[in-house]
Amino acid sequence: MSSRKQPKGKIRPPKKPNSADAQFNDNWDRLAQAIREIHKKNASILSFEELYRNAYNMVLHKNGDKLYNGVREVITQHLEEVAVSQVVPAFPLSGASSSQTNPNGAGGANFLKVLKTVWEDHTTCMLMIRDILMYMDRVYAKTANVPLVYDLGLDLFRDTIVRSQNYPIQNHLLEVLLQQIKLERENEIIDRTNVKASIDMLLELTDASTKDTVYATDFENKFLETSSEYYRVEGQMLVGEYDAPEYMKKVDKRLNEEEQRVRHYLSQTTEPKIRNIVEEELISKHLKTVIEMENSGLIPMLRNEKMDDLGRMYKLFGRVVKGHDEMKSAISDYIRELGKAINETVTSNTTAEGGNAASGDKQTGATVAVRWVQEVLDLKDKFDKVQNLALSNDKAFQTSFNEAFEYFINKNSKSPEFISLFIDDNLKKGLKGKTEEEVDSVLDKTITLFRFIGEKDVFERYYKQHLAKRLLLGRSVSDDAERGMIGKLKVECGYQFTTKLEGMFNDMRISSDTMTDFKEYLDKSVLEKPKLDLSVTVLTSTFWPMNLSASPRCNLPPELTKACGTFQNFYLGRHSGRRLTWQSNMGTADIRGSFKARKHELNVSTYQMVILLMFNDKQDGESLSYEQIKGESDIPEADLKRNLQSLACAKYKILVKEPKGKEINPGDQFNFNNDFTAPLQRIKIQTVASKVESEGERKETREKVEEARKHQTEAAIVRIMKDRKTMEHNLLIAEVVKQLQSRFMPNPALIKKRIEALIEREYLERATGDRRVYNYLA
Amino acid sequence: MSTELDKLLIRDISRLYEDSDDHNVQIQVGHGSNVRVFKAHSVILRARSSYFRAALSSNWAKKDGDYMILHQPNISPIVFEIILKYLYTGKISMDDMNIRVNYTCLLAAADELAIIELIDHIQE
Repeated sequence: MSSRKQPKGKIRPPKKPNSADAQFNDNWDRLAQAIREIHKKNASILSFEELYRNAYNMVLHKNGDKLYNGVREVITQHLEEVAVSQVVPAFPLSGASSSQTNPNGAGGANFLKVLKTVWEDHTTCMLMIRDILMYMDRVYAKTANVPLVYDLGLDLFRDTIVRSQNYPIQNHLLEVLLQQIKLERENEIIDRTNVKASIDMLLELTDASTKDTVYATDFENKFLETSSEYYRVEGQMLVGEYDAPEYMKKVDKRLNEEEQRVRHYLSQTTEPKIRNIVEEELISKHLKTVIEMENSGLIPMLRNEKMDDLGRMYKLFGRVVKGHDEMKSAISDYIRELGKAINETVTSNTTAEGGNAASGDKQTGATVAVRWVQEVLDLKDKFDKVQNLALSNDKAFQTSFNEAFEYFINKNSKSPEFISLFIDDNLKKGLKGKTEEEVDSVLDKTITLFRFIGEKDVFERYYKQHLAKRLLLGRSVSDDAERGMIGKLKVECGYQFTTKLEGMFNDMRISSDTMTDFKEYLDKSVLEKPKLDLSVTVLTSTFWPMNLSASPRCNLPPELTKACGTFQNFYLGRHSGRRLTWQSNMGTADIRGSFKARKHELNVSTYQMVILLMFNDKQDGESLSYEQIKGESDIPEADLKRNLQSLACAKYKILVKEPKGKEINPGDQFNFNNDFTAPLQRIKIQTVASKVESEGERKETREKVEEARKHQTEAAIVRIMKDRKTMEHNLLIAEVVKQLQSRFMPNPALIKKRIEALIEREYLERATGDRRVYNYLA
Repeated sequence: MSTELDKLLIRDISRLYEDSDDHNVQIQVGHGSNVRVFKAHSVILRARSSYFRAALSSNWAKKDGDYMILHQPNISPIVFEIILKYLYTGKISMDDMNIRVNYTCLLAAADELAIIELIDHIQE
């Protein structure tokens, strides 16, 4: 059978036997025989002390090498026999590729079982051989620098059985192991004990050249290669057959199975390697495909709020390098897309209403703004929920979502105005029937949107306007709520942002004190008392958004002018050096109107009062033309039209217009409507409510903002230069941007222009040596 | 304190050598007319020497009734007594006349029975 010529394990007697040689032969014969008995499981007839003493004597008499080699030979012979008589007959019937003829792997399992027995027998025998050769191990093996006898046994087993040169045992073993694993992957039940025994055996054997285990050198690579191939095919099959959630469940299951497999019968060192393969083949290679799966991919999951599936994807894809990046960018794109849609409904709405806005359809304008903010908030809520429930509040995802929100919010140039209008809507008296807590939580959310706004200075401008109207028209829900909101803004942007807003509150408080004093003053005064109750709010011009130079004037009725004069005397008497400018466009008046049916109390704007009072002097049926009213009142045209609309074309028609129609045109005639009736005694004629600006107003606001930016930019430049004294152009630009970006993003061209303006005004100069460097001039 | 307790352990184990009624090993030592049978405890012997650990393991131990039997014909009883005493007490007295006389035999026996520390000790 054996192709190799083996020297027989007999030590031939030397030609001239002396007593020492005879002793040696005798000792060796007994030991060799004993080892054979051990192999035959006949150890019980042997005497340990005797055999030990035999080996001891041989080593003592310098025959350690002969003993060692003899032992090697006997064991090798035995293992050769085992290979022939036990292992080879157990080869699976159809040879290496047995899986087809032997689909359930029974032949393979049997082969492993035989190998397990052979291995166990070998190790048991080697333990007993080690016992009797203990002295050889201790004395001879150490000095001769050869493996201890047990390790010798392992090497012999490796070379004679596992890597036999004579029989294809190794091939069969590897094939069978891989086949068993494949069967298990395909949900067959295999006998893991036998597989584990073979794996453990391979783990105990060492490769002579690599010093690594035979498991690592012979088995592991093959296992990983076949696994790679297996999962490559499976990956393609799975993406073809399953939707994204199912796919991920399958992958989860696979990962779990492979982990269990390693734990049950492979080496722990294989765990990261096989995990990488599954991750590579089932996740990395199909990332995009799964994310983009129609009707079940990432976007449909988001749309249908499938938190479990999203969470699974987050965990699963987090295992591979690109996984989270791909998810992030897909979700970001989706947010941008949804944001774009929200922006588009608004633009289409506002353009559709563009014509109406001028015709007094104010509510709709504000409604558009409120709806836009509400939709953005809803979107934010949705993704906060995703973040919280599915993405473990991953900061990287949060950042990427925020960028997406920031992007589309700033795409809508009206977002600062809209957000301010939304706050206005929530802070107005009793509009929504919301509790203070509810309002507060809405405003908290609004602040998160405010953070995304790039042009915070634009927001501030609108906020001031809206706040001014709330305060002056007495429409604030409460001082606490207003201050609460300003507190929130202060936290976000610092006190500079809110000092003016707080100044507005101060003016309101001081004015109320002033009015008390004014009443006392009138009571004590000998002067004739005004025939009307005058209530004045004194505004510090720098805090409030009204434009003083363009302050709209109008001709007030004499009674009112007189009352104003009285107040002016009183006030300037107390505060010398101040100047009062009347903002007649901001006031309201309560007047009593007598109609045929009954008297009504009318709450109107100052302008409306001026218009209505003109009719006091007219006979019934006598009309006034648009031109007459305009000439006499001197009210600015846009305001006049709007107020005439409120009186003649709105719900309560105090005036009758000829010809009828929604628009006010030159040549229109107006009559006092004596036949006016209304169920309520007290009537409020709608004053100009907060609304989205018209294009003209927008342009004006824009100009104001640009103007303010110039000042802020210059202030920043001067501040920086005062501190640094001298600075290079680019560094200065960078520093200015840094200081201003919390309010708006200044563009370098603007900064450059401001630097030039400052040089002209001799705040700065160019350095003599280097034109790119500026010096500060004190 | 702990060294005191250590000593008590040695004292008590040492007593087992002199005075014990639960031996489970009989060792026939010597040959020809110079044979003596020593009684000992397998647990002590196995703990102290890898030779005895193997010899008295279930793979190898030969039993005669309640006793495990060992044969050490190539060691003289005088030398074995010194060794056995050492295994129980951890002590060996170099002043002892017997030891001086049997120095070489003692060394050889300690080597054979794999009582490594004893070999080192005697050589010093």
